[in-house]
Amino acid sequence: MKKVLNVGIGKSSFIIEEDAYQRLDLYLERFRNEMDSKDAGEVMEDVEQRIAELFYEYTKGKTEVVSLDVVERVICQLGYPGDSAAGGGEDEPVKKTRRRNGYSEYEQYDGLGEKPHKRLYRNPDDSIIGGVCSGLAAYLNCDPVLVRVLAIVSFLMGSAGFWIYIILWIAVPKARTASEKLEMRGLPITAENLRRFSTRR
Amino acid sequence: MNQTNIENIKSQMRRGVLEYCILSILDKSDAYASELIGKLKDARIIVVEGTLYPLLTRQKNQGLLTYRWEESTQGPPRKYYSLTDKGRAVLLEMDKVWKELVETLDILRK
Repeated sequence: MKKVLNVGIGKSSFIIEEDAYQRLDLYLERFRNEMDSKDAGEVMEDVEQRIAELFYEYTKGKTEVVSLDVVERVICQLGYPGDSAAGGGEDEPVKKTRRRNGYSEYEQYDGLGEKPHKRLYRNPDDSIIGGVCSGLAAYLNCDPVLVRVLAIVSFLMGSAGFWIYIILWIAVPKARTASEKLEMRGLPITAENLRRFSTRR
Repeated sequence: MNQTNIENIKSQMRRGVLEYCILSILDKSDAYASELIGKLKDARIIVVEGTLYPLLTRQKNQGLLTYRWEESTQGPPRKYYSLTDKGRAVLLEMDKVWKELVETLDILRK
């Protein structure tokens, strides 16, 4: 089961899966950023129109809901305005997977486009009390066990540690969606990563 | 000369020729953006479509192209592009330049 959204693209409305929507939103934003601001509005209208056309084409008959796969295909077909790949586009840059923050199974930031930003979340997938420690561990990129031990030690040393935990529990939001879970780890929000996160549950 | 430099020259050349191609296609018949894309892809001058839309808007703002909305059987109305008189004049100019360039290369390569 997946959450879907109703969106208007190029004057048509579509039902789109949540992860697909996030991917598309990110794509459109990046597309817009690559252009002169004076033409951007008009060009984006054309692009949205084209996306609507392609959605029609791809979803006709088969499924009504626009999935991440469809979005991914459309993005692949449209590319970006600055793509010098006009012509011999066969030599696509190879995405390098670097072992950096211990998340080798996920796509890492490749140095192109916007930098993924990291945010502090509580981690609901790996929580003992409120997921504060494991969220903090993801943020600091260290072992959650270490953070938990430090937390327990601080609980024993006085009430300050306890209150800090309670405050963090209240103040820090829980990472609910796949993109928030990626943000928690500072991983780029790409379709591949989103898919992995949404199927992992 | 390094790799990025060569890439840069290649993309500059393609961009110029691409504008020429768009005008040439529209000179023969008016077209939807999707038809233009199809033709340019068949001719292998573009691979991704994203490069085309900013060009079309620019050429329209320069007064070389114009468009009208046409109803379509499936989905919303679409832009139907056509060449303006100014566009036609520019195309003739480009034809001349292209011929000159080809001749120049022919002479140099002999």
